[in-house]
Amino acid sequence: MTGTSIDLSLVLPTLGNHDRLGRSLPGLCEALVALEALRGRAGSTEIVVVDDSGEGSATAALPEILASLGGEPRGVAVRTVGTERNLGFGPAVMRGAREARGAHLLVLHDDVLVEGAGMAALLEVLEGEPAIFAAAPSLRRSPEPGAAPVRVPARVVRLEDDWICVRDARGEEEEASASAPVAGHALVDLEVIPSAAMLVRRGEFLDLGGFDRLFGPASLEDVDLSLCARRRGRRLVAVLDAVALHLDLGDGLGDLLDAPVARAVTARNRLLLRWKHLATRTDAADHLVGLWRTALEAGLTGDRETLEGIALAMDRLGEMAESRATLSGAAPMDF
Amino acid sequence: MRVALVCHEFRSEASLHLSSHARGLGSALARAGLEVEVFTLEARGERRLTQRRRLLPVKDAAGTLAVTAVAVDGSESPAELAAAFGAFLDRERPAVCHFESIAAFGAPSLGEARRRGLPTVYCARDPWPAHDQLTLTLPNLAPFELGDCEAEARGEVALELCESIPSGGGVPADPGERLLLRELLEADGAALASRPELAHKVADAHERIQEARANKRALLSGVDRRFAASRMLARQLSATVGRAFTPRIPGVEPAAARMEERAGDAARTRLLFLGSSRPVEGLDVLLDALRELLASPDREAPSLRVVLEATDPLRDAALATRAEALGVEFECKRGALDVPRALGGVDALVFPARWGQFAPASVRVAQAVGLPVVASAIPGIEEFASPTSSTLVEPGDVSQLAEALATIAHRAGRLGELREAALHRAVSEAGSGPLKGLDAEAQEWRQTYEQLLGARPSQGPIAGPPHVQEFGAELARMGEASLGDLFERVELGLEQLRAAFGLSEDTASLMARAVARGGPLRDQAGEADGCQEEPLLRVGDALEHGKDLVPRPAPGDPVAGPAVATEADPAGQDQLSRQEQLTGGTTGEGPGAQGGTA
Repeated sequence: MTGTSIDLSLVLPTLGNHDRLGRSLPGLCEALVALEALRGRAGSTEIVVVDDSGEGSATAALPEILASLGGEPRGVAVRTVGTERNLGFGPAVMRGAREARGAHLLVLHDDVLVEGAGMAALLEVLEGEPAIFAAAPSLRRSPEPGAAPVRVPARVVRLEDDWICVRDARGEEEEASASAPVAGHALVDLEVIPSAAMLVRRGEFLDLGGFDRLFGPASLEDVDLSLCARRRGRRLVAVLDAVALHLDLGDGLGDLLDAPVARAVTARNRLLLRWKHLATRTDAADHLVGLWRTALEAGLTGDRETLEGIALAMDRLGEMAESRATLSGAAPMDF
Repeated sequence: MRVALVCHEFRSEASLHLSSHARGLGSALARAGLEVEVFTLEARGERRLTQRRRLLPVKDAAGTLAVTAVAVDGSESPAELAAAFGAFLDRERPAVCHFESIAAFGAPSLGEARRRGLPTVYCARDPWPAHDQLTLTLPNLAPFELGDCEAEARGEVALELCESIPSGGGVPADPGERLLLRELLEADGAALASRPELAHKVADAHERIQEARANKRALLSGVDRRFAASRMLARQLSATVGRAFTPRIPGVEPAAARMEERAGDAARTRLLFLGSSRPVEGLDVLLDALRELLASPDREAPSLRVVLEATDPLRDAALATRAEALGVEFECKRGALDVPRALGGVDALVFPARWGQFAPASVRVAQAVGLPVVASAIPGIEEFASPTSSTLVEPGDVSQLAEALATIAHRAGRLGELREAALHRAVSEAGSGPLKGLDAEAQEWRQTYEQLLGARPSQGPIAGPPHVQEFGAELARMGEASLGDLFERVELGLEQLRAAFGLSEDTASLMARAVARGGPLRDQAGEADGCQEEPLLRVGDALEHGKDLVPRPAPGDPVAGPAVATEADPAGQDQLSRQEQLTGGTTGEGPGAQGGTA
């Protein structure tokens, strides 16, 4: 590969589960081979497997998985980057992004498959329109085991009684509308780029701060990234002829965390996200009025869960302020 | 460490409560650095089961003392009290439950603690684990031994049949009832059998008592550690109930040890009775003895001060009349007794109890300050008032008591010997003996709590990878905080946020706007019931008094101020200009959450 610049680094954070990697990695290698052939740029891609097991599980599993491809990954550069301890999805992506050498990063969950043509479409869109920060494939998943995959709805961010709510788009009004095609690819603008599969320019991604560890261990880091990008006036799009298949091997919040823990982390992160992106004093005052009301009602009714969620967020005020300081145009905060 | 201290009665205003140890112990535990949450019952004119929590100041305390009192009118079922206790536990999240009393709460409350996996401690300060008749006296005030079911059964039947027995015990006014009582209490088994209707009633009562004892035994089996307030009580309860009780001698309130200097007529011996008018404590015996002395011109009578905790108004008044006729200085009040003042200037304490004493507070306090005691020679007193530092007399023996009082009043040498012995004992046993201080007792309890917590099985980490477990641990720590602590954290964070966002609107105004929005907040304020009402009262108090939670809005402050910027509102225009500063003038598309969520 000497002399060939890397166009695309596929960043694949994983806890090292052999079955998951065994199902996704071979397909991804084939997709990269196809991509290089399509673009006529051999050796212009790499796979960075971020072993976030903290104990080298992925590193140990990789040789056997690659051997299943016929002894070598057919020219695709695959390397592992280990974390000294289990960091979680966001920090693991950031570790991979810093270690990657490609001009573009395709961040994928380790149970997502994208074909070579889809990757090519994503690259062409990003190369063809500088205003776009991130491009996502059209994500498909099976509603139930054995059923045909269907399109995953876009997500939207709404304020409901002053609480940030991220949910699937409902109806035509909320569905993303078509935008002008780029490089012949039909697009729709998104409010939230999905972390399961997204293509970004590596330099810009790192410059923006990437996935904020404020939101660890999970949830809403992709919403935060989307809001940060949009704050800079950057676009997020879905490329309709690039398709990704989510194998759904269990990587959602509900799979990762017990229900009470998942609720607590979501409640905390909704507040952190709101505070990080509050833009005006009027909004801040209104938000605090709403939060006072929520806290008082929780105190009145003995609603511990709500108070715990708020208190968990309060414990991260300092980190939130630091994070907020990285936003363009946001007033600094001192805790 | 947060400890729930459960007691049936807690007088916040008194530093020493003669009939309940919880007040002094609560303060001492707070001084030992613990967060003490008292749970108690209070007959007050509020809606049943309303909970009210207040923080009590404790001087030199590293910890805190708060009291949650549940409004009761006596009609509450054990299940209702247990539900109230459960709500209290969920709100305050203690690490340990210390029951100073179980009788008033019952098994369901203990079950609430155990269901939450909390270690439990019980300290018996009376024979409740074995008897419902806590003074171990029959209706005619005759004593019976701890464990004597037959005596208790006969006493129960006597109370049921004889309506003219005075409150607290004594001789029935009705002659027929006097005969019946005598027959019932003194007849042997064969004689009682000749009265089948009485024998049946006694047998039924006996069975009830046995059943109650079996239930208590089962209940106490669920308590992790059981203690008793004296060695005698621990020994007898262990033998009777069949569950091990460890002696844990109560300490003495340090404030009580600051006895005022002797003042006034030093030539005349001054005695003090400190207690209540309950017949079992023998104040009537003392007054009889004093009358006998006063009637004997050849014997010198000491002066007497009586300081009572009010119990029964009629009985208190009757004794007051008798005492004043004998020239006794008489004080009876409900609420706080000024014990140091009561002890001030006296030469000896007199406590001629008939029976039923288990580590009596007045005797312990007097001995701890080096005051001789003239008291009854009964096991519950002898353990604390040794013969070398006290004069012990037969309980109920008026003549013997009169003689002992005359001796003390007449022979200054005898009083001096007793005082010297009492002082020597007070000094030598102040650290860890029977006359130790409350702070020493609090340290013993702290050690017990720590042992119990140390023996708890550790909870495993939550499922998931390590970075998730770290959050789980954070969440678990949050779960240990009381609702009040959580609210305080949130309150502090809200204030930090307000300052960090540079809002000119103060917290009181923000809160007022929150309340003014109405909706669920107002609805719940009106509808909150029973166990859930305590936070409501706290928040309500804060709004009313503006000291616990947030500053109160000043008169004239906007209730729902026009803080939202509008084109028509100059203040809003001003805010807009500040917004520009805040946002750095960024008004491009999608200003973060605004663009995406508005």
